[in-house]
Amino acid sequence: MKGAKWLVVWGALGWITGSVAQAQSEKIVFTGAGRSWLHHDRVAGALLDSSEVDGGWMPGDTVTPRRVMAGVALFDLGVIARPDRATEIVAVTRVTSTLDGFWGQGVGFQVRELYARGVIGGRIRYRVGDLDLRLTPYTLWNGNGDLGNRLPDLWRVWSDWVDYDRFQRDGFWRQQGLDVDAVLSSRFLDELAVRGALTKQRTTDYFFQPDRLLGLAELKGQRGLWNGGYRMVSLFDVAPTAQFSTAAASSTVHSFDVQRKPSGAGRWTLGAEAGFSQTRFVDMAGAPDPGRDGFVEAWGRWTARDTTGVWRGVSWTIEARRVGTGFRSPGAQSRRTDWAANSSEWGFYTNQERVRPLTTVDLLQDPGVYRPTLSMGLQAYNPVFRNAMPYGAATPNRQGIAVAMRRDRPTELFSFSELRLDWATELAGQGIANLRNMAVLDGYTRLKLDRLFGGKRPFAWDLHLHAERTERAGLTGLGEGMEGLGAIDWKQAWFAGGFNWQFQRDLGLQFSLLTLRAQGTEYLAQRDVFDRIIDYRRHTADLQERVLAAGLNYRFTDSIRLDLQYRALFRNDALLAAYDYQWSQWSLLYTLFF
Amino acid sequence: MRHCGWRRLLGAAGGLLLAASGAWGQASPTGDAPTASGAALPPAQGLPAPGHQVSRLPGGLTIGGYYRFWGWNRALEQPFRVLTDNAFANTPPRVLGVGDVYRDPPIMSMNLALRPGGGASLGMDWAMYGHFLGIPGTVPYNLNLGVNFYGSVPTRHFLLGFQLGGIHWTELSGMTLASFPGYERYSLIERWPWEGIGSSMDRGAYFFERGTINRDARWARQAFKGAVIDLSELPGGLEARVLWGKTPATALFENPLERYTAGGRLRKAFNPRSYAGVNHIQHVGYADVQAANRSRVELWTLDGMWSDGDGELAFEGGVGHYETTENPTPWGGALRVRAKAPRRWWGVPVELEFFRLSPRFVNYFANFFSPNAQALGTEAVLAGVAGGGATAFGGSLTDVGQIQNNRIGFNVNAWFEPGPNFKWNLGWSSSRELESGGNRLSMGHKINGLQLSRFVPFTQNLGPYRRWNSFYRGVSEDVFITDLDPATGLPATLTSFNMVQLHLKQRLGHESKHPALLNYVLSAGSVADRWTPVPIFDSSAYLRAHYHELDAMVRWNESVDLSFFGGWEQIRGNHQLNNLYYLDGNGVTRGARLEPGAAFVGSGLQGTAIPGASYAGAAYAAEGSVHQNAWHWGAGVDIRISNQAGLYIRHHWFQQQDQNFTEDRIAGTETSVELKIFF
Repeated sequence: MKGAKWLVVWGALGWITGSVAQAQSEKIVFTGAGRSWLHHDRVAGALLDSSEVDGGWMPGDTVTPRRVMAGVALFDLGVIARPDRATEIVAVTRVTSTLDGFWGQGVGFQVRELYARGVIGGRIRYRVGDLDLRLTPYTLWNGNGDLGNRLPDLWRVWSDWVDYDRFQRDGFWRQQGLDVDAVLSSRFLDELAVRGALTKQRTTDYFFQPDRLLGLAELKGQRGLWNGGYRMVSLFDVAPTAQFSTAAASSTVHSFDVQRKPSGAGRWTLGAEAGFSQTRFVDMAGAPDPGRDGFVEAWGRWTARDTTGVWRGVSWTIEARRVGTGFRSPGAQSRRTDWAANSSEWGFYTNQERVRPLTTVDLLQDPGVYRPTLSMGLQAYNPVFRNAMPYGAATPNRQGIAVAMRRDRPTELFSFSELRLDWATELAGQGIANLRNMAVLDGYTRLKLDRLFGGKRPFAWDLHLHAERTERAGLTGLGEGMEGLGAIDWKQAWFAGGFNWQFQRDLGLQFSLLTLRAQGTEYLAQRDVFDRIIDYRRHTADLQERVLAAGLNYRFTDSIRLDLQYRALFRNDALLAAYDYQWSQWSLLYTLFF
Repeated sequence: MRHCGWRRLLGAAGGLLLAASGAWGQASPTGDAPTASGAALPPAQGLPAPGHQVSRLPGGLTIGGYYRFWGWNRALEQPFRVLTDNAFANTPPRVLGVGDVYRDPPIMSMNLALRPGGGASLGMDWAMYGHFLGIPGTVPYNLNLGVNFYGSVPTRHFLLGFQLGGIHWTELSGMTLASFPGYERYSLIERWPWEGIGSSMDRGAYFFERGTINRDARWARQAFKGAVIDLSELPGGLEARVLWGKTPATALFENPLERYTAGGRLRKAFNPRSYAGVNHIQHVGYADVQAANRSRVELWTLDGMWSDGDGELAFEGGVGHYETTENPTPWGGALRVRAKAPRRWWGVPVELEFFRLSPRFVNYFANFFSPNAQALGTEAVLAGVAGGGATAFGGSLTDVGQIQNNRIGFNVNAWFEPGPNFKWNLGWSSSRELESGGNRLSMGHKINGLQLSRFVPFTQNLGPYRRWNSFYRGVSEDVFITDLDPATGLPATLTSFNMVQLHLKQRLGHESKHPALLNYVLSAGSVADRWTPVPIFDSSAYLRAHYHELDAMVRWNESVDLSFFGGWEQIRGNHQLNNLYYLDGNGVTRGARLEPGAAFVGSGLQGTAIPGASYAGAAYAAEGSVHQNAWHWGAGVDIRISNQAGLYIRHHWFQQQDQNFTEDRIAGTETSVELKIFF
């Protein structure tokens, strides 16, 4: 056959040989999840008491319930219909029922997932409806979790549920639209894959706000040890969908990457990715001219091939990157955490019913503080949690290097460890000419202490530390009152540690300590609707959050567990002590996936 | 393939794509590196797993339920006067409806049970409606009991079972969490919404043989949401149950403030029919967000039962109180002892019961009424009434065995079987207040109670005299003692209550092609200012009530049963009861006795007249106190469509009139058609 030759790759072949094969005889398959959460909360601390602040009298919070008892039960029932070997329809409904609702009160129904997928002619794979899309950390990546995913087992039952609930696991963005891909080959390449997707981010109000779509195209090729590709991701408005406005915005990223796998005896994997973005605003009053900026990243990974010896299971990675100040990539820079959201548990406080700032436990427990949509501009972030690279690898106005080490020996005491150091600096000063310098340390280890005692009763410790420091010299030589202006010294540290001791066959004792510490001064950019910096807000903090938690868990199966947990959050702000509080919670949690 | 957890499959897909798109280190700054076990992930083939799907259900999914069409046609000779501000009022002269006025039962109940393995299971029931409201295609649906989770954990020393999530029908002991099971003296004509397939003769035969009818799990239990934890197979024959969650009295929708019901029991079984245990329940709530003012109802009891299969001795006793932080009350005691003499002693089984319950021994959800259950506030009491457990009304004239707190008394029951086709039993109760509980009395309507309750469900103080209280499938009315001690405003003497019930069951043509059954219940009770061992039948009693209920049913052929029924009810008050209703300063219905025809205005009574009232008994005093006559009669046809389907038709003619309170004048018909299909 001349030219490209279509191959059957993922489609029918996968269906025949993959895990789905077992279910072929089943035209209807059920799947889903269930969860029952019963909790009792108590709140105490200075927040609730009258106090003196700056010489003034501040009345205590008379609105916040001191004691709360609530709960919810929910059931996701999914139906997977397979009318033939090349077609599949998935529909998942959710039913929720609150503890305080009797006789039908507090019951909610939702369609949680709905999509169809299949293979056309054994060559083209499609999926329409709910999609999970991901490309690279510079183009389309849902990677902005603020607490990372290195958590003690006690908290995994919460964070896993949040990820499940929000469809945000492993960097995927949940989208609604159409995704089509196919794989070709040619005489020049071993494999050539093409892909296209179009999803809807926002629907029109029919008057002034147009539809907003996300489109992507990908072309990947492989030849021998080399592979690489081109990607384009665009978030754009379709102006004609709004009757009374011609305004539209678009942001497009083009990216090229190349990787080389290790040769026969080689140990190095090399890769690079580079690209640029274009941002345009049409018929929008006061809009800037189209912007364009780029990024480039190169990395190398050394993987030990030893099966014994000191380097066994070890790999090293070194990276260097440069991301321009005007580089905009909505798919990679959009943040999942909505810092303006109010938590579903105790969302407001003070007599003015202000939104209570989100804490570590809110981020861990509450799916409602995460948003599923992409943003055209850079969204606000909380420097207490992440400051050096708040938009992940695609954080604009950064250049730097990173060194990472990973050691994976599942059967040993130190069963898994990783350490990463990032050094970065700005490309352009913000507000003043001086540049920020940033350092990030991220370390994690999993200790299997049971290895010391024969390994019969798993006793695993998870220890994770993430620390950041941001510095910038202030202005000098400008006279009294201006001296030191703009200086930044911001320190942040997040520690998550704990153990899981499975002292009976299915019964485990768990403990966890989480601490979040932020201290110093930072200037946060204030942006207009076109993402231009219009001001800087001086932000000072001396904040500490500590979460102590303990629990028992019983595992019915690998995916069904019952947890009884107690946790206490201590939030202390040295600069605003009147808002200090302690929030304790008993939880009885039953989580079931099937 | 052993089906693994969804995390693993997702991790597999994620790790694979990650590996394909770049170095693991790329994700590290944001903490999204692949899992530690990522190196062992399987290769990609075929379609990626559907979002978060893990495995094929291992054959543990079952779906069942029923469809129940219930249509009705009510025709009143004139509309009944109800509160104009009650959104649920349902008393136009003609009603053509589908579905009961109560939330339950749904038109269709579909129950799903899921057993994914490991001793875990899940259940959920869809409650689907469709009351022919003219909105086809947009009828909302709901859950009935909700999403329920179950699990059992076997250990070396005991078996741990738990229930979480939605509503569970559960119990502890009679006085802590249960409902009165009754002595099964009632008319069989009305079917309960939750009953299974069974025509009237099927039910009648079962009733004749066993003295009861088939009921679902809720019978004698209470609705509870939260955690129910059972420890069984403990050493020494012990078993334990712990509850923590919500009952209707402690569930205030969209109010997260701490309100809960908690309790438990520890029980030792001596043999399958004998046990002893300790029980506890408390209903707790707070009236303020600062959780400074706590309201609590708390009970501790000991209970036990010994039985040799024929004779039986059972008891429960304990202490309880209700309190608020600002108003603590002392503990009050309660004791209930029941002995059933075996048939061999006197030829018939005879049961004697003694009870004494302090007015401070209060519970919303128990086998006794608590007319003074105000500890958790009005909402809690209303919820308790709605749940069928508590009463918000006054000292009640109740069936034999249905006791109340603030009473001392006894119940006697005896069952006779003079022949294979004839059974009868007798119940007798007598009790007296321990303290004067107020001047309000309540009496129920047995004859037309179900029909009247459909006028306005779950509402208090309704009707032209604001004296009706509507509860689940029943209505009661309030009257007031006016012969009061001027110093206390309470009746001068303690009030006594008596009730006698006679129940006859006659089977006819048992072996013939047309078997038949007669079922008759007489209930006669009185309330008086002095204690007497038997009901008072003259006007020296505050209140007298007689109820006669007669059912006759016959099997016409293999598919059709016919039934006929009639009932008569007389309620009389004496000169010590009110002949005028009005509202006090708090808007609560009160009663007074004035000279007949005397107007409320100018009477000197503190309060206001019932709004809009221009009639006797409200605007001015009636000729006398309550003087009611009620009757009904009707016929029914039950058709067996199949083993899983039945059709049930009923037609009632009914009337209720009060000679003195003339606005209570109800007459009409009600026809109902029920189609029930199980699947």
